[in-house]
Amino acid sequence: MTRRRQGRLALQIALLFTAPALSPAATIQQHFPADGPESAGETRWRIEWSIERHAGGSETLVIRNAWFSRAPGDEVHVLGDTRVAEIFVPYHNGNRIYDISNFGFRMVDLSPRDLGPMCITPGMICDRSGNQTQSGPVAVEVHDDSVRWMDTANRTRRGQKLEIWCALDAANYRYVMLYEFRDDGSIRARLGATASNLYSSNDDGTTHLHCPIWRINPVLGGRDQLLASEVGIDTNRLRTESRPIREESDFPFEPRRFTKLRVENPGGLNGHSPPNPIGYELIPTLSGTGRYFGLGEEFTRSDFWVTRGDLGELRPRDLPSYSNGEPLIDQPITLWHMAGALHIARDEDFGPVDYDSSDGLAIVAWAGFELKPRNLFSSTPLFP
Amino acid sequence: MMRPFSIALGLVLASTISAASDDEETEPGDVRTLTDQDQRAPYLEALDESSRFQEATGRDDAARLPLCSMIRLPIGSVGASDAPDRVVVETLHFKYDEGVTIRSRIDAESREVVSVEKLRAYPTPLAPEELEEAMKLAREESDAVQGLFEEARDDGPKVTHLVPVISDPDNPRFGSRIVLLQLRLRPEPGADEPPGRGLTVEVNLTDRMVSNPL
Repeated sequence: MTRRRQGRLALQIALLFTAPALSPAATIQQHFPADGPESAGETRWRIEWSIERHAGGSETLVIRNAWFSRAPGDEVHVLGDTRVAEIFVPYHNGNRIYDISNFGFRMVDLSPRDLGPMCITPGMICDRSGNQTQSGPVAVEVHDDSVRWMDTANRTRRGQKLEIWCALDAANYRYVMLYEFRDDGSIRARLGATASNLYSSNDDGTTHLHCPIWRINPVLGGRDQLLASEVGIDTNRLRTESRPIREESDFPFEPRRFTKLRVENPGGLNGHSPPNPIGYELIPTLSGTGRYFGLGEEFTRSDFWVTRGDLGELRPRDLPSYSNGEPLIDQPITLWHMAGALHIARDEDFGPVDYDSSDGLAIVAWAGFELKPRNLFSSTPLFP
Repeated sequence: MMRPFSIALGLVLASTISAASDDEETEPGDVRTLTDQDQRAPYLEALDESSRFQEATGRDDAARLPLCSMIRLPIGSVGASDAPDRVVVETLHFKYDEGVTIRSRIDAESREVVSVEKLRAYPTPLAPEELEEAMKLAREESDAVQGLFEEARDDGPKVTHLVPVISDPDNPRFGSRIVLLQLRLRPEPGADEPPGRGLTVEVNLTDRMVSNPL
């Protein structure tokens, strides 16, 4: 190896360990319908975002705050700091990869060719401060979101959504961190994994999950007066069950119960008659749940965790120590949700001969959840 | 007393790779990664003088104990201002002879060491000197890696790494410091084409072994 090559290699290693600059929060506002004048907007999102190294590890796209206007001048602070806090990747061969906490991966610089075709309004690439640019880590797009409703006269209202996304350069993987803010107040968070496979093999030892774990700080107009509940249905007794969560705790997603996590602000009532507390429900979109039993993997025992909101509690690996039964009443709360995308190697990951991982790509696989308003509006939104 | 490998070398390396980001304004609740030698020094001195840290590390100056991470961590309730109650500096060291991570927390203001824990199978980033060593071992021990370097242009192959944690105590690699190095030939500059041939090798820094994974 030449001295020049050694020098370049040393530089490459040094760059890997260089701490990127923290950027201040950028703000984006989007009214809906996005293809109409702002003055005629029915609803609107106002979002502060930034890119941060999470707990000294890899970068993550942070939704610092999100406000939703149900009508002009009627804005609700919905979310505080919300982010992917870990991507846990357990392989069948025994390897465990922690893509956020164990590395210093950075976001890819995107270009306009990474944007989808103009649908409602033109998309844009932003730098870390939110300024439009030709090469930067954040993409902002507005797209059609299929049918929002159809009434009995067969009239249709199409939905629209604002998408904010980044792509994390995680060695052989690229992780798309995507947040969709919809015109009806709902939010969808997704993580997409696409890769040149780690191993040149289709052996079952290469089978793995990508388990993103989101850390979510709900506000709903009053972050220290929220009430969280585990909600599910009992199809035997034909009733909906709701269990208030008054202390730090965790619980699994049970597909037969359609388990979800509800958060309400009892002090923030909507304008319905009679009024109801405004709320959101965290609804999983799981194809399965990954439970692991190695040392330190107790955090995979549940899909939902509710803890006191603490600035220093950042790592999902430490959830069992964070969740120590502290009361949640009159305290800010933090929600944690783990999803999972299963990857079993297939011929589509490789080239036409053998299993050379550098000769193909694993097409993106998604994991995520939805935050759906509950009694946020006083009546059907986007309805005449 | 300074530890010849862990702290002193860590300081030297840190000084060569530090970034300027630590001086930037941040939000009150922000976590900051400390890479600057001057910022790290007082906390490393606090650890050096801490009997708890010395006990955890075995009071062995020759122990292999790279400093893998140092962050400034606010502690306190999430709130409108996100103003922390206190700020601690958290360090992660990897202790090779036991195969454990040592996590220490130091009060940022008083410099008091408030906790020292030994953690098994805990995700712990690679220190720069560990990655350099992994690369050196891979080039020395793997003909395939050497061949890829010879095939590559002057700027060498693109190298990325992963650090798998082994959580099964019955796995022979449990407690070892494992690095998966991925090397890919780069496309021609300016060419809109995929990266070239690549390979992945596993380097066991504890046993100083290089192997083909799977």
